[in-house]
Amino acid sequence: MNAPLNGTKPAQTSNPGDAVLDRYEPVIGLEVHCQLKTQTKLFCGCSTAFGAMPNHNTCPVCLGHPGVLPALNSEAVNFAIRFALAVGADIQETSVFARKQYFYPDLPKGYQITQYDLPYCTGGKLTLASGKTVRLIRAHLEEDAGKNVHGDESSYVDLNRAGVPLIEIVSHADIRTPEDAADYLKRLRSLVRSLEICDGNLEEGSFRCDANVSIRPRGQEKFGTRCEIKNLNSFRNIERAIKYEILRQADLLDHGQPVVQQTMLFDAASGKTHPMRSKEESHDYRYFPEPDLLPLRIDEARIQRQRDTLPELPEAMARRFEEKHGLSAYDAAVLTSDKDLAGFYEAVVKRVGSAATEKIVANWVTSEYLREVNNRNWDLTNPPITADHLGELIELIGKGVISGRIAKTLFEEMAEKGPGKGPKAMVEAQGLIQVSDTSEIRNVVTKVLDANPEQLAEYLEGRDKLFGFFVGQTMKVSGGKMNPQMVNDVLKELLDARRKG
Amino acid sequence: MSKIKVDRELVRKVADLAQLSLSEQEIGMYEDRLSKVLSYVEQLDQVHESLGNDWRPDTSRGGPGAVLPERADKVVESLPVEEAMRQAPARIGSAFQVPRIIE
Amino acid sequence: MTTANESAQFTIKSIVDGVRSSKFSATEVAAVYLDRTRKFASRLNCNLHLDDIAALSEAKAADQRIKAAGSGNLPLAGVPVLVKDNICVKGSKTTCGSRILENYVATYDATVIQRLREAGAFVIGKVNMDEFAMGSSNENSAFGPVRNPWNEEYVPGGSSGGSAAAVAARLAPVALGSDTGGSIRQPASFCGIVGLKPTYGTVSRYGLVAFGSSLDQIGPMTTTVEDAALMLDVLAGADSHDSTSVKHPDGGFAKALLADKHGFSGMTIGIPEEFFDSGLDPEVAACLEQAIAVVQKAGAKTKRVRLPNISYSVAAYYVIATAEASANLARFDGIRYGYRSAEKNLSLKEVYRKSRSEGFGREVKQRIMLGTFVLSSGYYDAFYSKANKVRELISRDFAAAFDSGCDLLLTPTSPTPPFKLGEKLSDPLAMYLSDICTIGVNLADLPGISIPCGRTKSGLPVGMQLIAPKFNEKKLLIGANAYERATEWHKASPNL
Repeated sequence: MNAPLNGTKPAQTSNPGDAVLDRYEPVIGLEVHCQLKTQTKLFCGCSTAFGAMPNHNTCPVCLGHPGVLPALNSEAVNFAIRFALAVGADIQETSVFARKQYFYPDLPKGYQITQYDLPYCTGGKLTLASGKTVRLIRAHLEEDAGKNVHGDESSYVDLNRAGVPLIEIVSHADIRTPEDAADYLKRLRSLVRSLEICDGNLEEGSFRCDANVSIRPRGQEKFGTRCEIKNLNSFRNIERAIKYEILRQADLLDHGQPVVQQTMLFDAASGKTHPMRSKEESHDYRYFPEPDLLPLRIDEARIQRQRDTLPELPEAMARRFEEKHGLSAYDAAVLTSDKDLAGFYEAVVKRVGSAATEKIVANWVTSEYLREVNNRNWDLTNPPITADHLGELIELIGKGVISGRIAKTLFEEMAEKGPGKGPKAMVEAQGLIQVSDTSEIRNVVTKVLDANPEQLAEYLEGRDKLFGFFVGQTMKVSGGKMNPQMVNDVLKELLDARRKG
Repeated sequence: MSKIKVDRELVRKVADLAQLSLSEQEIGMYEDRLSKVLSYVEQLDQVHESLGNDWRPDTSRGGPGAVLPERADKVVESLPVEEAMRQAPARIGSAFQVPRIIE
Repeated sequence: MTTANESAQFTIKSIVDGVRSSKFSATEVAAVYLDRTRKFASRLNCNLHLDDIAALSEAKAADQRIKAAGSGNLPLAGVPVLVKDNICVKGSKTTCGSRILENYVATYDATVIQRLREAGAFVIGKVNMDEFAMGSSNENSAFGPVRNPWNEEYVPGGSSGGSAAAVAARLAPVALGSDTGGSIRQPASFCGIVGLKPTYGTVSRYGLVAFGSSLDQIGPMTTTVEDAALMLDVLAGADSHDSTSVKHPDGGFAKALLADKHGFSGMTIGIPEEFFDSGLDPEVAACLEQAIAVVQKAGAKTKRVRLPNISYSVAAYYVIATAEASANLARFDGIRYGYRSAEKNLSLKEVYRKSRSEGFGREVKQRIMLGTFVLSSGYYDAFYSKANKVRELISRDFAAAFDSGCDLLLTPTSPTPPFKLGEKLSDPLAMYLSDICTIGVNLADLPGISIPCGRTKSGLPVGMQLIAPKFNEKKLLIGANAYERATEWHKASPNL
């Protein structure tokens, strides 16, 4: 299930009191672990499919049995290269895998194979909605750990996830507001989904965010002590957690107390961060180069092969929507913030053809459609109202079969009860076909004018405002089924005639 | 480089990192043995190596032509779960059981 | 069938010949060796969890394979192989000589086991070893020390002590060993047999419980050089499961041996002077002097060479190997398999600590701690990084020695003859320094072989080591074979 997207303009969320922000500047860096959606794990051929029963996707290698050795997944490297290309990072010709050692039940070998000194890429950047650029420090490949589930007396270890490929993406501490932090993560998520290297599912854990937060008195150059908030599982919680953390640190500094570097967890129920207990001992990970793997060499030819098959990325797509479809920057940004939403929009555009402009389609998608998506928690990859349905509906408006107003009602009905046989069938069944017959419209308008002599007299004396009254009355009499444009035209014509005559 | 002082404190610290618990007597024994071995290996300090700044052990591994083999992304059958769990010292269902982890 | 005595003279070659000429089957071969094993193995304590039934069913399966494929197509048809207990044989216990894996049953076959079976051989048993391959005397096994069949008060060497003792005692024609700093070659020399460590990367490590990942190699321990060549033919080869394995540029080692007409003539043998200094035991020095004379008589030129950094090899090795081992042994935590402390109501930390402390022996704990220390914060550059640079220097020293015109290098395998059980246990360095002749070969990724070249006055075996450049096993085996042809040492076996 995807996190709901907000298609309306961003509301002003409450910030840590302005007073706090006057005095302190938040400094935020983000670390994201993206599970690569390869078929198999990073170092063995076990399936990465989510949802298997515990330990059903394991083998001697990912169970850490004696005598096993890692064998690198080629596709994971390809996915990693694609990411680097998409953010403009420098791909290192030689990178080295390393062992990061610590004891934990979900870490079968007692070490994680990761990259330390020499990651496969450095640099790169992401541009936010506000126009701000966030620089990346690096990204590297590593294997995921298993999962621990906690009972009362025991914990239970499932190693299905152990060995799944990850890229860890580390940003510079360039972010200055919680909103920008959330935006960075949304854009990053959208990017990896467009690249088809990660399905970006926060709830399932394929996209995991940790935030490093510190504050410094405004004007001070030196960074303050930072705390790391781990395992934030929704964009909303990320913003809430960072906001709380800023307040917490400000409160400490205001009282002359130092901020202690520690790892924090966010409690969604209380909206507060609190320190993780077991991490008081700082880890000595004793990194050293992985002796079971030779250095990874990525040559230009391989990079070019990936470059050649990159899909259109969100930024480029947004630009295309603005330039070729005439959409506003805002609408383009909303539509390209999610791969499936963009796909839906383009499918509707195709279905509608020449019956309506892209702008009209964009309007429908960003307002009506997204409203229902959010309210009803629809899955963007499989919505109950398909692009074909919406396209058909918009086409009916464009061809003058129904009014926009009627269409909106129909859309809500389809959202509530299901699309059934589709808009066209619904229109016919409910007899909603718009009246566009000029003589019939004339008939009704004439009757309306005759039925409202007082208002007619006032209008003819100059109260132009009453035009709307007559439109309303006509729509009422006709049950809203008259082509509004034509009603306007006919009404204008008849009223002008009465003026003269 | 100065000679490293191997004392009980150091032995305890290293044993902690390695998840070993040692009796007081063992700590004394290892203090003695490790001290001897460490002072022997410290002689590496005397070696003047002229390998240059460009040469690194990690990137030179396997020699200049060495290629890290890669595997196709194709699913290979996993161990039947009974096999995976057969030698688990403690389990519940198909999960490994451990004492409650405190987070 | 033959008498037990005659079987003691079997080699891989004679077994394969016998099977091919239908003189006997794999099952019959197994029975003969199992009979000897029942007689002598427990005295020497070289076998572990001896299981006749598995051995016989392995032999039967080999016979079926031979029938199906034709013995002519199987280079090791009917050959029983003993396997060091740190090599995984699916369905069999694989203890690594440790309490922490006392009841661990391997869940997959090591690649070498698959290759051996495909070649018509079969596993006849698992043999004792120093715990996790850490040791030079096989006194560090949780299952008791192994005794040298030439004199049971003496050690067989280590860590492949069980492999060496068993082959010397003719309980099988061949045993697989593993070599990280000399663990095939040194016990081979202590037990008067042949032990080959191939060039790093030649034989797949998949299924070898890792000790020093950048140093470990599996190799054959046999009674003749030709047998070692026959084994290498089957064991060598890149494996997709082992990213550090490579395709050996050569092949057909046994064939090359048979085809060779020159032996030592035309070869220049380098004698590294650092291995022949005053530290060398006089009896060993005497045997080596004789050996060098034999080599010269057989047509080789000899020249003195220098390996200027070789004196640092033991220090570099003990940093690198223990660092890698400390990480390799972290998986033994009592969670997914292996020994877990039986105490009740332990916290997670206690499960780790008690299981590991109760399960690991003293030497293993010592090396884990040393390895943990050298990788710990602040010490990486001074130790691990430095040791790897020294390793490179030693590699270059060897390369320079070969480049100066040497085909092979000749050294003692061990600076001392076999020592008594208990003799070197109190001084950690004394044991480590007994690896001084063999360690550099692992550090430089080179192939090395130990062959018997004499005996002390008290009748204990002394071995000599030949070293070749990387991937030059052909030359190595030709030289070793030429020495063997010119002497009788390989014909002797201990009286049990």
